[in-house]
Amino acid sequence: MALEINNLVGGYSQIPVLKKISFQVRPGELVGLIGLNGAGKSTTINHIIGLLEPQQGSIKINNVTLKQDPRKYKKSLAYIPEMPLLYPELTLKEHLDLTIKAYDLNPTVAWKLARQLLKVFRLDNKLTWFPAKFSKGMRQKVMIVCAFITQADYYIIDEPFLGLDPLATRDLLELISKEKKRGAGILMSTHVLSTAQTKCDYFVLLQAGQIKAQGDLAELEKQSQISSHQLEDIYFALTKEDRQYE
Amino acid sequence: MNELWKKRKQNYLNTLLHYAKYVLNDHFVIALLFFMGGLALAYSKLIKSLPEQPKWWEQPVVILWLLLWLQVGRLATLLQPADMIFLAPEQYQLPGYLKQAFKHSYLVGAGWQVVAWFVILPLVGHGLNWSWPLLLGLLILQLMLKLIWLVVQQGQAFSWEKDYIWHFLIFKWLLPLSCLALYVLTSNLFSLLIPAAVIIGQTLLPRSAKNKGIFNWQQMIKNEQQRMQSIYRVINLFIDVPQIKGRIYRLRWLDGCLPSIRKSPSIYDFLFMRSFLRRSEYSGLFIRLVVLAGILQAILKGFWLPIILDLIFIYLIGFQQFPLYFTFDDNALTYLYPVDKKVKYQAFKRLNWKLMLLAAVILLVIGQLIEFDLKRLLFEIIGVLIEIWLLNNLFLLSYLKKRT
Repeated sequence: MALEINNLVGGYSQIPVLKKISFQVRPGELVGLIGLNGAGKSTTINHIIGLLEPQQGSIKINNVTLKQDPRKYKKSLAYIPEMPLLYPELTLKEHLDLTIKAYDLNPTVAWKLARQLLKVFRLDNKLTWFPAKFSKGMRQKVMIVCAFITQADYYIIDEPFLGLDPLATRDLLELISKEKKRGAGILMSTHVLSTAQTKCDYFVLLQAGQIKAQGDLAELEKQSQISSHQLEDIYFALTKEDRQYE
Repeated sequence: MNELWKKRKQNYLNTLLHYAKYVLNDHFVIALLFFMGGLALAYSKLIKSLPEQPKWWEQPVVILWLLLWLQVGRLATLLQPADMIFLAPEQYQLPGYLKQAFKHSYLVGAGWQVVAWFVILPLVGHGLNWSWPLLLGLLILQLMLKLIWLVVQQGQAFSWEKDYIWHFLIFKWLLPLSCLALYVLTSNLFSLLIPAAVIIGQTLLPRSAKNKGIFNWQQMIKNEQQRMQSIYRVINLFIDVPQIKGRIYRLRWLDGCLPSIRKSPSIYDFLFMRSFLRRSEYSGLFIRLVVLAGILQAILKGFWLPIILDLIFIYLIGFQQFPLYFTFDDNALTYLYPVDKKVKYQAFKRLNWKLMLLAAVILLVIGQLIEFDLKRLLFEIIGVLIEIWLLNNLFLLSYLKKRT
């Protein structure tokens, strides 16, 4: 039982961006996906959520690929995009209704959870608002609430901290650790290394479409061959070659 | 800056030409030609039936017609938002640019006024029994008023007055209204002296103000964008214009018509209905077409004509809603929901069927109210039902195949 990426080759065109990458997200684990701009983080995520099809290799959630059982695969997955994706013609309440219907959730249970989350993110009095009225941060919060009411097995979170105020960032991190305890696996891509260092259990460091290193902090440290416990130092050491190209 | 104007104008004309090509290809033109033909027929009948003695409404109609048409043809500066930054260093050359823009705008605006004058000619000539010098005087008056109109609009470029709206009210509406009323009611050529005096005043006065003025970029760019939007909106009647994003209206009073999530057979029924009602590009188009068809239905009589009309408009209404099918395609979430794709097609068919049926019922009811005819009604019902079935199955499928 895990989200498994095996020898994934893929990208937007015939020329692959990702070159045989493999890693796993296990239940109850927060995996940090880190790398420079253009390293392939978003491409990896797009493959996992099914917007791109693997050219080689496979992606399995609990041993099922998207092709084998799209409904089951998609139901086990919730996604928070980097740029909030909202329907301009739906109110906040209707977004939640839609999510509940789409994931076939129990409305009573889901709404109870939704109300708690809305309160945490101070959106509980904005149920009739349209997305046009929301700021970037508020839209991001709507995405967070919509994703977390699904209580999915796995969460894919792309760069979640941009535009969030410090309070909301803290609340999101709390939410993530709660979901971890429930047994959900989370893959989070981020550039905020200080947060990643303290919160993630496992790291996948992408560079030019390949996995440069993976493991927990201690393992990364070994692979980088420097003596520092800071993710930032390790990250700089490991991406050094790539920067020399520029 | 002259080069810039020429280039911009060329681009602008190309854009319009580009759209004109599509508009003239579209089915909607057939409907519109039908509509114009119907109106022209009704108009010529009306003119022929006019008595020697002018009726009370003839003069007000002439005044109102010309006043409303005067508002057509705005100042086209072709300025773009980025100009505020990139052209700022060349600001001292702007008056030259604006002069070109003004010339162009006046030619176009004057063209529209000639059209308006031409259309009203039969009514004035036949109904009011005016002589040719008077008729020509009316055209000259209208052209002078348009000049005043545009000069005031251009004046805004160097004005920072918050209540410039008053200038608009006076020179675009009140002055033209009084001049037109004076001329039409007294039919005296001497009343042309008033607008002439205003034009002389306009050319003499603001010179000094213009020279020291600071260009009001934000206002002028806003004006230009609004102008382009309204042109696009007209074109959007015929085809999709990417620049028209369509506005979203909550329309609270319609919330009752929206299916709740529990009652929706699928998430797509929920989404489609909301998109249709709240996105102006779909509901607006539907309403415009139904109104247009309704007016025609009320004007045109006979047995076959209303039937053909119904069929043409139901086709247009159904067909023009097809792009709604792709509304959510730019939102990746729709793709991520664990929902079967076939459901979307079914939901869209359900909505489009309801819409076409609603339009058909409205048109048939109007037709029967104007002229009760059971045999025609029977023909119409059978024809419309066959048409809706065809549209919602064969046509929709081939459309979706072409688009995907």
